[in-house]
Amino acid sequence: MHMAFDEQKMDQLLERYFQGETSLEEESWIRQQCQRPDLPDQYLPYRSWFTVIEEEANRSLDDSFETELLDRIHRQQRQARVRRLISKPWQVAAAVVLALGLATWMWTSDGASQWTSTSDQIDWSQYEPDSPEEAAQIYRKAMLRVSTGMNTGAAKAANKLEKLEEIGAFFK
Amino acid sequence: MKPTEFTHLINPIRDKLFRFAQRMLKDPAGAKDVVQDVCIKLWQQRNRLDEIDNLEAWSMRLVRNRCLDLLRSPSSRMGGLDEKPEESDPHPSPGDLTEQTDMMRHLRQLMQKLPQKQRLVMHLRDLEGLSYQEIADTLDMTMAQVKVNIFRARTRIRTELEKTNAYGLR
Repeated sequence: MHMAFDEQKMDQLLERYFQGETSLEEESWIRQQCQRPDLPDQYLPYRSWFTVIEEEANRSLDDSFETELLDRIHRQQRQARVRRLISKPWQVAAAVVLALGLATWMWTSDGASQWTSTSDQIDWSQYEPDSPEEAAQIYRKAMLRVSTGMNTGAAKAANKLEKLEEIGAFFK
Repeated sequence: MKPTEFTHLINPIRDKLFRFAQRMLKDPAGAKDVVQDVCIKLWQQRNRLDEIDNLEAWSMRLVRNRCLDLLRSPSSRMGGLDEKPEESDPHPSPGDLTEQTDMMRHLRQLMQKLPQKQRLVMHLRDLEGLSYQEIADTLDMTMAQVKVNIFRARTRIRTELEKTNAYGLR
């Protein structure tokens, strides 16, 4: 049940409100009084004013804001990764020069012939097994060595591909 | 800090930032862009957010500065930097204010047409419930300036309300 409307207090506080002298608590009291169903007619325009304030204070961003913000943050993260990569040009240049040098060396006739000539100088006869058991033992060791190194190259390649995809997505 | 953790940190204050930017720019789309820009700036400083005492006050100042940059830019078509009151619509005749919604629309227009300082002080006080000291800090004003501006803004509103009351309208 509402207490009787206190017109004297309302008048005093409204006067102070428009002078800019009320506290936040007093302003809250005025707003509550203005929403009372038994508000006397002379205060009805003030109800309109405080209703405007209430409605304006409830305006909010739409639901797309968070999604758009997260998109921008993820885009920033990708850009930062690329910037980090580009910010060390001497490292990239050194890697490219090294790769090109290695490829050139491997595919030039001198490099190929060096491998061939080294291979020709080895006396393979001293590595021939003397018995079937020794041959089987050598075979087992070879297979064990191959199986240990299996898939490590594939994992490295997959990792590099993932990074390339991230860079590709940035330039889209 | 993960992006989702960051948005959880920002969510409680984002609507307040939006309303403030909208009050400055008078443009909802522009206000949304400003809040996005400010959030990105905060994200870039995420490792130092712990050093900020009051994230809300800090963000409000960032919004204010960003809006001022936009309003001062030569390409800006937003009308928020006015220091003189804009010409109000002709005063509504009693016959025009027969509904409370008309009155509210008129008050909304009146608030938006207040000079910028009065508009922002009134916004931060009446809509966001900030103390005069917080308003002074956010808007780079003295307490005396804040009080003068709130007084002038409310006097303007009161004049309109009393005219309406004299007409006997609701």
